[in-house]
Amino acid sequence: MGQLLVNGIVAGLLLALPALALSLTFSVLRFANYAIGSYLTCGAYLVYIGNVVLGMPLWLAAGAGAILFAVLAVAIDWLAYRPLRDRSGVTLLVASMGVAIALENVIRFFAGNSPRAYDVAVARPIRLGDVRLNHEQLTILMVVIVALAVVWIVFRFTRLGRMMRAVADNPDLAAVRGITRSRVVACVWLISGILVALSGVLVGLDANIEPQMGWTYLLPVFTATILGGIANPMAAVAGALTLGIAEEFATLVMPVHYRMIVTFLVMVALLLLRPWGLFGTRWVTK
Amino acid sequence: MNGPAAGLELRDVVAGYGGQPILHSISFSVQPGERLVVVGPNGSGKSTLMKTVVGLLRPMSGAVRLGGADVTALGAPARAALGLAYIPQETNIFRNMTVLENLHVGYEFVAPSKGPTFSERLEAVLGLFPEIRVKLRSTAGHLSGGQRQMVAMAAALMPKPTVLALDEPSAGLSPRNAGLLFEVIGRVAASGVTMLIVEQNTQLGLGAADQGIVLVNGHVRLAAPAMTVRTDPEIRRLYLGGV
Repeated sequence: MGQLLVNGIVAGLLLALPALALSLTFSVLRFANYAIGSYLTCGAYLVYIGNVVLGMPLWLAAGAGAILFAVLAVAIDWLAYRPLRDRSGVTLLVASMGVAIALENVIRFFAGNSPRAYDVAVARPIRLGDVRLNHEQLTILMVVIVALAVVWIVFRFTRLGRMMRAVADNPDLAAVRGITRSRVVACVWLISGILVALSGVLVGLDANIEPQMGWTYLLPVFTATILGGIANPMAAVAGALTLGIAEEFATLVMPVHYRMIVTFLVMVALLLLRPWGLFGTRWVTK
Repeated sequence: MNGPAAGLELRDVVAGYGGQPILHSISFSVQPGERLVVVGPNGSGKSTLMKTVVGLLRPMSGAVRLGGADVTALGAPARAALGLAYIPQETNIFRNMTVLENLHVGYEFVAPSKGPTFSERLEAVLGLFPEIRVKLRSTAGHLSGGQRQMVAMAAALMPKPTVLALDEPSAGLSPRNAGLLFEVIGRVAASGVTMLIVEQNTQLGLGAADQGIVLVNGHVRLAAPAMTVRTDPEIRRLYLGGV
């Protein structure tokens, strides 16, 4: 039981960063970025280059790769999304599908299809009573909690955070209060780029690095985000934890490889019953 | 900004959406420290006029001048930085932020670094709106309509603007609250801010103004001192639908 809970929390935290990134871009740009899976893959490969090809320690490669990818996310926005800014969310969603396919194939072109792994030492899991925690899980736990805390502090207490929340709340009013939207958009892509690239590294540590790795996370990330209420970034984190724990506990009653069904069921139930999310009502719209 | 009140002027402004003009060659000016109210029936182009003035909509032709400088090519954030504050109709606060955060956002992206500090301005603004002092930590979206208008006004006044543009301040308010709000507008005007007010409630609006403009179908039908406009038979005809 304790073991399942720990595994569930780690699985949920793994979803939390991309869910937060997705919800952050949605709240400011009003479109669901379907390319988030490919972003995750792309971030993981950039860090792989630093770690394995250039021989940097993983923490350094992860930092450099995350910043590099954040810049790339801003560039993608300029090339693909910016010209469509005034179109509907559906147009942008379709554009992001195009971006997803393009990115994945660029990765395949350069890196091939075979799975790869980061250069990390293999270590024995830590035992706490009857709960086992391996080093990858511990890394995930620490990185995600620190990243979430940083984002929360930025959101609540900084000028940049107020800028982002103001644009998400009421873009026209934000403009007349002196906030330049394009600058906020760039900041949002930088932050979500860093978060997604870091989550790519964590997924790569947890499993393998391969061109499809982001796709596997696409459905759970969207489900977690909607679970929290898509326009409410911090609630997306709660959604991710809920989903991670639910998936893990489902293994008590069904075979492990059917875990994905839980995600589907949660998604279907949500879309039918509470499309604004579990915590969505707290977002005042009237 | 922070200087004396500035004037506002529109010259032959044509504006609209999707290539279709709604405003046809609008010209008027508001002298520094003066209050000008634009009245007109629904669909006469009042909101389009407001959006053009504050920079949310670029005019197709003509010029907008603020304090003597041509601001036609500037967007809304740049015009705000020049001292133009705008209070939109109804959705005029950040609903998911606290009242204090609303005031902070109103101040920090516009106020000049050499001017009064945030806390100085906060005290000055709370002096004008004592009602919201106890609500500073509340989520703005949970306030009543009248309180929201107060928060919106307070946030717009935080950077000490020279020109204040108000879009239908009485919309959605009870007659009592609308009356109270116009009392506050009077207090604000007395501090020397130039005001452009778009208002549907002609009696209330014109009662608080120096100059009045009647806008009909995107044309200026009448421009005169507010008292003259208020008693003009044309107004009765337009609103009561007589011939």
